[in-house]
Amino acid sequence: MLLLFITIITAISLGSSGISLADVWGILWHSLPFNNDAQQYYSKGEIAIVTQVRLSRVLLATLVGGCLALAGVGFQGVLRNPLADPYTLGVASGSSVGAAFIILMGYQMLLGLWTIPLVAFGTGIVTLFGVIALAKSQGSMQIQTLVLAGVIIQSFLGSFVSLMVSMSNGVVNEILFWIMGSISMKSWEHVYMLFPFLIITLPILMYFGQILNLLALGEREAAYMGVNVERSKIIVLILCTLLTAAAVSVSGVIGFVGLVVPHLIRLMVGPDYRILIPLSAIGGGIYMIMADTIARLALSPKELPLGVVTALLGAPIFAYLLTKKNHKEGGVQSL
Amino acid sequence: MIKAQSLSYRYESIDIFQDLNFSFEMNRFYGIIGPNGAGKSTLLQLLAGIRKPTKGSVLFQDHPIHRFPRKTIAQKIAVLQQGGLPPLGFTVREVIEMGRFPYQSWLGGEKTNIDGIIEEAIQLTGLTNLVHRKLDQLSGGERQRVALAKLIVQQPEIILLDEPTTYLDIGYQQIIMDVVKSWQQQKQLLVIAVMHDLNLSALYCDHLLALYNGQIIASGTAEHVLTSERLKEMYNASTVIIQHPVNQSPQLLLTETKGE
Repeated sequence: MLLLFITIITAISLGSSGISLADVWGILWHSLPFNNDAQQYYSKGEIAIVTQVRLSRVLLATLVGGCLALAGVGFQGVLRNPLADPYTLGVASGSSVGAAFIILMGYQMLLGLWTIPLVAFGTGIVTLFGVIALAKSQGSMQIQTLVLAGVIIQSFLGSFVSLMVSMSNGVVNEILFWIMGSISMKSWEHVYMLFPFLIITLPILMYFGQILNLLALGEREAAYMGVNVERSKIIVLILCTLLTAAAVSVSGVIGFVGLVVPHLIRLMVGPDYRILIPLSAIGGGIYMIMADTIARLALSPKELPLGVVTALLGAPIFAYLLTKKNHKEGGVQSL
Repeated sequence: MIKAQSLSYRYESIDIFQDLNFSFEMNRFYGIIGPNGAGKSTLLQLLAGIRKPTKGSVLFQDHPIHRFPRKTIAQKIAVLQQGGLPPLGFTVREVIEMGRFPYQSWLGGEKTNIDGIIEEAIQLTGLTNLVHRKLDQLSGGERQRVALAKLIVQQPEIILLDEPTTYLDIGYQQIIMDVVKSWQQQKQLLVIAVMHDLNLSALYCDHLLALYNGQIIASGTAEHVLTSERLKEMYNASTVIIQHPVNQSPQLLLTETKGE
């Protein structure tokens, strides 16, 4: 938690407009509700950059990262599959299809700011139920069939997005940027939109922590110990889809966060989901701030798509995890 | 205590059992024997209420078992599966504590202090030196003992064992069966064990049920159930039955099959 706070402050302090560290801290201090007199000391432009642009962006990165990592740890727990994340199930692709379609048709503003999030959310949920229905066609929901169904649906929907991109002319850039993930050009409204999702789902998922521990021993074993397996799985899957859809609607498709962060946390604190779940939410926030800061600054003033940065950071880490394959330390079972 | 009432189960249009009737009484050690594919494990899953019968019902305290919430069942019935626990990064003690899940509130706590219960289970299963080891550092036999300790901590009245000694060497087989038997006698529990090893079943069980072709074809003491003719019918195996020199239970030896 302290680490998260330090990361937030550092990330706000770094930027391409050359405001000094002391000034950033001063502006923040004088913008606090009980101390709101920043105008006396600093120019309007500086205040706007710090509070409107940087602070909101860093907080948004925290929330997006937290949502994705939380969804990732939930999916990994339910699927008992270390390779699962919001994307394995095709949920993110499902959300991106809806959003790409809306952008292509030019209906972005039909219902105001909420149009894309709402549609992405709807298609994400439909995708989840599609995947579950496909996996359930053989009776009760098996782990392997669920992942397989996710992959099938994901490649199906991915080709739809590609089709829409190749059909469109002028808006290709907007869709592409969205597909590759970015949290630039966002405002406080998006922060307020994401915050309730994280705050409501986090305690519910923490309640399921011990149940996920029991599920790790095997589904039948968990059932014998008093877990209502099917119901718990469905609830956690729906919560994780909510988190994914919320994050994707704000930031587009940002990969590897839900996959890598829970693994890193697991290496540090072990396999207990009661600890893993809250720490993954915090770790996801930290990871995303760092990735976004790199995206802002690496080729400054040009900006990299955030999804590119997380993949560049995440893929080597994941490859390292795979080759290390340290069963004893990480509890990374059945890779 | 637990009762199969005209129990039928059909899986992928094959009848596994038809119209089974049997009443299991408290303070007894039952063994279920039968050839591979006779549905022994399926029967245990039906008795534990995690499968629904096609027809008939499993009655627990005179009510259909699937009407009970899962946590309530888990406070009364515990199951030891074959093959034991997967090699995870949890420590032995953490896994044993998971056995208390049926008693925990939604916050994960319990009113009573459980340290004593856990210590007792650790001592009973001889895991004292391994409590801080992780599951993935243990052998299969040690993990099966952890599973048994978790079962003891669950404080059930009915214990279902699904081939508890499969894959274990004779030393671990003996430890597991001895611990279960003394625990059953001390707490006057009901044990229903699916047994692969017929000699072990004759040594430890008070009552054997022979399951064959979806029916209970024999029920009673080991002397009554384990006969050469019946083993020929059920397993198509040639055997002679001899008496155990120490405790007089029937023990079987395989004989050569000549000219068949």
